[in-house]
Amino acid sequence: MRPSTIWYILKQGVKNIWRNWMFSAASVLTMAACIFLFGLFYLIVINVNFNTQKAQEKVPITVFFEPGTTQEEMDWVGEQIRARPDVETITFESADEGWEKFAKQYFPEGSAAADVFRDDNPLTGSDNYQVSVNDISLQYDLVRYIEELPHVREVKQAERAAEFLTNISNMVYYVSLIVIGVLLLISIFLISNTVSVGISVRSEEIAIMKYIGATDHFVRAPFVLEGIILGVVGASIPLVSLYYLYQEVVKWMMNNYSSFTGAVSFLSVEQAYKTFLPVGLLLGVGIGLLSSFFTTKKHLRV
Amino acid sequence: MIDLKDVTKSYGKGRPAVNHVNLHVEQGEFVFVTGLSGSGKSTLIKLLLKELDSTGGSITVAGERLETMKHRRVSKYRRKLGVVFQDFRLLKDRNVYENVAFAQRVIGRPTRVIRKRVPEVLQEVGLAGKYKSLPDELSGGEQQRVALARAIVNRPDILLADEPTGNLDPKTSDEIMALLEQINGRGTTVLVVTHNKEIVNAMKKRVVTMHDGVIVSDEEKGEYHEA
Repeated sequence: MRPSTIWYILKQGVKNIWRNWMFSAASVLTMAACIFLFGLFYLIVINVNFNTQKAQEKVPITVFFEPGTTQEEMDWVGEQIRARPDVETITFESADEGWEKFAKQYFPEGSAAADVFRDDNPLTGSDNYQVSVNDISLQYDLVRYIEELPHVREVKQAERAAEFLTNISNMVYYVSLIVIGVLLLISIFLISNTVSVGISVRSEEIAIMKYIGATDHFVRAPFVLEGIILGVVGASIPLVSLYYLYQEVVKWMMNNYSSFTGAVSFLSVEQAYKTFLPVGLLLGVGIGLLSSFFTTKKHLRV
Repeated sequence: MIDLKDVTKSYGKGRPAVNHVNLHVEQGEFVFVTGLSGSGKSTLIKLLLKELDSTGGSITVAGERLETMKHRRVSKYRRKLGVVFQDFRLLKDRNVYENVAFAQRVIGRPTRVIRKRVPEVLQEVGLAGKYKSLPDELSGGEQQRVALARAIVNRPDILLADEPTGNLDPKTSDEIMALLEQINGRGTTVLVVTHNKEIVNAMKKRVVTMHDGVIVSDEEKGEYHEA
């Protein structure tokens, strides 16, 4: 294809948008509204997931060792656990550290109890690993694995909390899958319909081009380009507005519902947009491209 | 140049719109196809344009067999034809220059060639001064001249005109026919579908008359027949 032809197609794609500005505006607004709704729900879902995940990390597994286990042996067990893909964090707490923490919390410096146990750690033999999983539903398997490791005396876990969080996590996953799926279908339907109507009113123009001897590619290219541009613009509006709205809402909630702080945390807008930005753009561009491609195809049989 | 052998086109179970038609047109000929509404002449043009597929027989145009032609080949084939319609079919949002240039753009002519060729053709059809006008700012005759300019800008082998004077007054019709004759004089085969009796009788060209999808007469320097 000649550079002049490519340039012509690019110019036509942009001109088409202005020539049919009402349909272009309708397409962009429909797309923006759909992606806005989709984004709103998406941001809620990823935050719910984020909090579930955080809660999962707070349900630790504690691994205790048989009496007489050396530091090297405990290190080796730690390495085995760390190597598991389902392990999120693993921290070692020696008996001395454990006692120090306990004493600091319950026996103020200078109290009688602190003096009594100064040289006699009552938690001797309680060196342990605190392990958290990245998926609470895998906790049971991990516990079984650790129990089989040599030198391990006991593995403690909060089974009920794990079960509860697994249920919550599953529920969020399935509900979000359904809602996002439905929103996606509605978006695709509405957007492609609007783009289709915009192209259908120009079926006469397409027919004329075909009579003159334009190839399908030549006729279609400006329309597809137009679809992509409308997709980018249509996606950019909700992406930009949600970017600011999200930050404001998070700020407002943290200020007005201080009890949230600590119990609930929100993803930073950068973290949230790491996935939402490509998903939103892909949605806009993809639908713009595909709907213009297939609608033009319908009118090319002249 | 155009060869139809036993061509039939049926739309449904009823009588075929074109029924076992045989027609041969030599290169450089000027042929009128006449007949009443529903006689099959417009279907004939659509078959030649490969807008419709025949249901029987064979059609060869400019060396191309149409009944076996693949869809992707159709655009290349149509570049050998120029086509003019009763309703002009211009791109309403583009000016005269752009409408004519479009036919060159679709075949990938470089811009410098387009800039040279389009004014030449507009000069030829008498619209050199109106190249910036939009179709709606022109009279019917002027719009048809633009359509003609677009049809001949790529120097086609064949020019198909479907009722080119259907929307025009007698004086403008004569002017358009004069242009068609001029184009034919340069060697382009011209096939005009019309039911304009005055024009057909005045021009003394080959006249093919259709009735109920059948060719009922084919005369050199013929006259219009109320078939």
